[in-house]
Amino acid sequence: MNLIKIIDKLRTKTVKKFAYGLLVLLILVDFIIPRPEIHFFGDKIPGFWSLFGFISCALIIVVSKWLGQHWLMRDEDYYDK
Amino acid sequence: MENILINNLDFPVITVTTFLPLAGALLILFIRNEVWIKWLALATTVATFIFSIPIYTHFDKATYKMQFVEIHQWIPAWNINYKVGVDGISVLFIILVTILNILCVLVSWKAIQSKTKAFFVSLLVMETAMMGVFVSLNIFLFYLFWELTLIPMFLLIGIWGGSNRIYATIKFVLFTLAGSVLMLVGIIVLYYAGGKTYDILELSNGNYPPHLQVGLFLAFFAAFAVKMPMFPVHTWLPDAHTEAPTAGSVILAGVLLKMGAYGFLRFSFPMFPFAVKLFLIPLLILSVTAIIYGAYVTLMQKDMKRLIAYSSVSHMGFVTLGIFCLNQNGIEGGILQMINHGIITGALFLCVGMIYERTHTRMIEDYGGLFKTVPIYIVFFTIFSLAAIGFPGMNAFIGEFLIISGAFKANMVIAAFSILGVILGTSYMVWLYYRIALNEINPNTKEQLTDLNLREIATLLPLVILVFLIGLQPEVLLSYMHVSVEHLLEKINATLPNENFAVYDSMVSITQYFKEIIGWT
Amino acid sequence: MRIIMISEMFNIEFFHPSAYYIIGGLLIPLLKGRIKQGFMLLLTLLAFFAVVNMPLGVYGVYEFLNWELTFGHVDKLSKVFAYIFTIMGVIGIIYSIHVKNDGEHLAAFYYIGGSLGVIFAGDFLTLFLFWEIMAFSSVFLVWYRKIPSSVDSGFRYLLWHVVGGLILFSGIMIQYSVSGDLSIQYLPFHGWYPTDLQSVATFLILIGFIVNAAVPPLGAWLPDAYSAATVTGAVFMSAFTTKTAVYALIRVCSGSEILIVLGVVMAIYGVVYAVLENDVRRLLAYHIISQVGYMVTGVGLGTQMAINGVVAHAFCHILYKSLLFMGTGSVLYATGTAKLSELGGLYKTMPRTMIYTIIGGLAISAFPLFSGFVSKSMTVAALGEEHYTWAFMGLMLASAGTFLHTGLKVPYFIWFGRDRGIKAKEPPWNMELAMIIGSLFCIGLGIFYKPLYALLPYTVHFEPYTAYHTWETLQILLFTQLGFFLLLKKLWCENTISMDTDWFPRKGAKVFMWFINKPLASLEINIIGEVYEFIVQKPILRMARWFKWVDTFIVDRTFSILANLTLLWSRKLQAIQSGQIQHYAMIMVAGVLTLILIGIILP
Repeated sequence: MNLIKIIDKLRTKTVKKFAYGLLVLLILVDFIIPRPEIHFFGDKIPGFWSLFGFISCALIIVVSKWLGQHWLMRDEDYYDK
Repeated sequence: MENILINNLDFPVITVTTFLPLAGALLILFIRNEVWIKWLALATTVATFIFSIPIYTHFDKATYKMQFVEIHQWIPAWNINYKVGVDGISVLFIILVTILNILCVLVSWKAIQSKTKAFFVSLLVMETAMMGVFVSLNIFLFYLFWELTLIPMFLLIGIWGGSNRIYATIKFVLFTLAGSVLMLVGIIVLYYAGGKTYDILELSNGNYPPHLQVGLFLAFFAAFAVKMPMFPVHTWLPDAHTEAPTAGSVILAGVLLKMGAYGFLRFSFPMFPFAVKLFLIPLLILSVTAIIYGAYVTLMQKDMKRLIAYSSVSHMGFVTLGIFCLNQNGIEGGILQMINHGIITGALFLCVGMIYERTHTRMIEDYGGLFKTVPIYIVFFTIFSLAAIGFPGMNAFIGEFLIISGAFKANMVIAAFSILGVILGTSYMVWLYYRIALNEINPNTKEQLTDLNLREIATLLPLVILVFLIGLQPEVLLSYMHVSVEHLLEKINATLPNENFAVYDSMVSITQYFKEIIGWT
Repeated sequence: MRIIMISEMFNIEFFHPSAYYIIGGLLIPLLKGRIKQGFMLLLTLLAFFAVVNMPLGVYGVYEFLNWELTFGHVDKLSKVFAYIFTIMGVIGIIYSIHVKNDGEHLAAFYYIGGSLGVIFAGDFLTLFLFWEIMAFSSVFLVWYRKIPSSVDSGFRYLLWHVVGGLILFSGIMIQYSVSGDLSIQYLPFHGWYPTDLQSVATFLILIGFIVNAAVPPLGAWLPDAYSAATVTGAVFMSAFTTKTAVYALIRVCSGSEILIVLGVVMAIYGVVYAVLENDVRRLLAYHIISQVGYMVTGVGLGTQMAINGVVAHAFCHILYKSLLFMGTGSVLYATGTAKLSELGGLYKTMPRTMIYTIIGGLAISAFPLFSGFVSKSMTVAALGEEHYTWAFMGLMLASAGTFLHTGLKVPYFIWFGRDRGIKAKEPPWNMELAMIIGSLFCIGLGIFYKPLYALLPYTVHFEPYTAYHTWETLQILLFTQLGFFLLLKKLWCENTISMDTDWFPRKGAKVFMWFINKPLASLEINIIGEVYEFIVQKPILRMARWFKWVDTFIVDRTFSILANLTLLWSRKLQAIQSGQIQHYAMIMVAGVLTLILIGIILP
């Protein structure tokens, strides 16, 4: 399938470098972008949402896993016992 | 004599409807051929049904007075007359009796193998007796028919019943008889108190002293409570229903239980309103207890017939709840629910009976996966299960809705508990359905299960039609009741103001009352 | 060129789309093969066009006892929901057209018909009727999976919904007894707990709606049932029950502040559980809870922009969520498993399904150019405008989480991840067609969003494609992606389940059944039942024994002189006591007749 070949080509180092570059670009552009309405303190800070996204993600993963391992996760046939 | 309306038709339609089955029974006595016996029984019941139709077409819905009244002198010395008639409250029961009896004959076609002549004779005598209970306007006549229902039922259960039938039938007779005897005492006292008359309408107009009302109420209550059955005198019901043959169970659940509630409406409410109001809260509590307790015990049943029998306790609890709300919605809901219960529970017993005929086991664990093996049967069973749950669009929903809205007007807390009863009702029906219809196919019974034949479909089909008819157009039935129920409520409220007795008040007044009697000041 | 409607032919203005589903559905078992498939598709299309041509107004009012039932209350709000429901009907039927079992199709049709009925209901009784129809028909979509765990699941699902329905019913009852009116009114619930009777009614109605909207703690039925449903059934179920509940909440309870809190909690709750999940359909189900949380928050807020946002979000959510269920359903169909711990490396064998699922994931994460971007953001922006800071942050957090598991985790672990060499192939053409349609909607609505905005109940003052907004969204999403790849190791999936609030009823049920089977049973059998034995049987039998003694030793002796005569008489009597019941019966009837005759003649 042509599609598969396209995907295989994409999984290379070049793409990764390109992606990192994009992230840096995002933060830089955030300094110059016009801000229409400020309802929220974070709207004023450039790069805020990037940090927010990253920390949210990490927070969710860490907290969920912690909750899971210490409390919520059980074996599959827990209810049948 | 102002509350009677003499005969809308120039034809003793009620006498004919009442005694036609008896005539049929007499004819059957002389026939030996089994097939002819069955056809004659069927013809008799169908004829009775046809004769009962004019009652409905010519019924005047705008009046509360008795209609189609017939009076004949019988024993004038004691003022015992043959007087029959119907009003808005009793008219619907006639058609319940006639329809259910046709279906009973149909379902017993193959099921009864021995002594068929006696069976159908008993069935037909039963029909006469039941009809007589609902149409009698003379209390002595009423009592006669009330007692008369015992004998054929005794035979039906005792001879053609299940393995434990003797125990069940004797228990049934003794329980009911005990209550009835107390009622007899009450009747005789009423005779003297009411001015030496047995006429129900005259007695209803009497204003009896409160002490007398309470005593008489309790006497009559004994009989009606056992018949309903109310908690805790309900224990005869599961045994009687389980051991009875299918037709017996259908009649028992469909009609006999209603006689108790009818008795309340016909006797206790008009004649003893003070006592009714005095005992209102305990009666409501007893009703809710029956609903919830009955539902809980139903959940643990392992025998299908017993399960449905206990569910009857729960459903009749709803009926008494509706009746004792003492408002228009509640009483109409109660009467409607009586008809509905007769249809639904009768249908469920018919279904169980059909399955039992094939496999000779009633245990739920012997069944499973009926969804795949007998699909036509399951269609009917599903409809009736949904109806029993009170699914909107079907008849029980209307009844429950009316009763619960009436209950909310009477007492909020009790109404809240009754909703718990509805939830439990849904659980046991869904669970039963799940275990029987959906589970894995049970190898024990797989081979014996054949789908419904035409006769059986014909038996169940009228009930399906009724379920939907009443569910979508309840006004068809309710229109008969409105005026009579209004009149009844007026009578009750005329003697005392219509307050909702708070629990405290009622209990206080009861204890005060009994203190007075004992002379304790 | 307009399609000529049945309504125009018969000059009826309004033809309830439910009728196509409910009445038309009855005809399905009578047809076979291609005709049946074509007929089903035709029904769904007819229903869609019925909605398109439907004028606003109130129709189908019937008198029932002393109430008024309204079947056709059509305004902008109900119309937009009807649009998406009928569109979903078409997509769903295309997806499931290959299913041979008529029962599944019937269940789906009644389910859709029921939800359309709720949408157009003008009074509570009609709403309740269709509410129950929905519950009882959708349970079959679970039951038809036919594995034991699904049957159990379905049973629990039904019980949850019945209880929820009864709570709704009691709310309706109290409302009726308080106001005497059954029409659907605006009944917001303010505060945290009910204070007077009216607020008890609104509270109960709210709870009834909330059960169907799967708000925790009452929402545990959703992951349970949706992961146990059939491949095609789950697609239907993801769309209707919760959105019908959202509609009901908008109609009746908008502006109830308690919903804001519940909504945010719900959004985060769903995300947390989704991260832990191994079964991908359960993950998506928890994610439904998260997304509906956005909607519930918006309803709680109640401003025009918020309600617009909720409706738009519901519209788009149905499309992309069903696309996700269709994609993962195809994986389940092709491989037989939905567990992430058992999947991986499927990009080589099912690349097109991967594309559709990724489109769904991007849409749900509100990527610019996709439908989520133009809808979900409206709700969040409404929160921002009202300055509910914590709620705003909570929902943004949940957005990050959304992209994390649905946009990243699911595709990664199914299509990339560890290649386990599973043999699979693309699903049948009808399933793929449905997914293509869904994807087109997801992208199309993202770009051409103005028609969607025109359908919304209030005029829209929101412009999604501002530079700032686009950039802000891109920041969150792409940095979440960074976090995902950096923390990838932590996210490997194990074969576990997570406990949810349905622990209470499931463990509790065992206690409940013990109570019924032991104490209550012994009460009934040993105590109350024994009364009869104690009061009646034993004394009577004892008395009978005494009398027998009297009879034997006293009476008999007295009559011993007459014994011969007695014997002679008793032989004569024996002939009557034949012991056969026919004779007893005859004697009985004859006796009664004689009594009656005597009774008539004597006086």
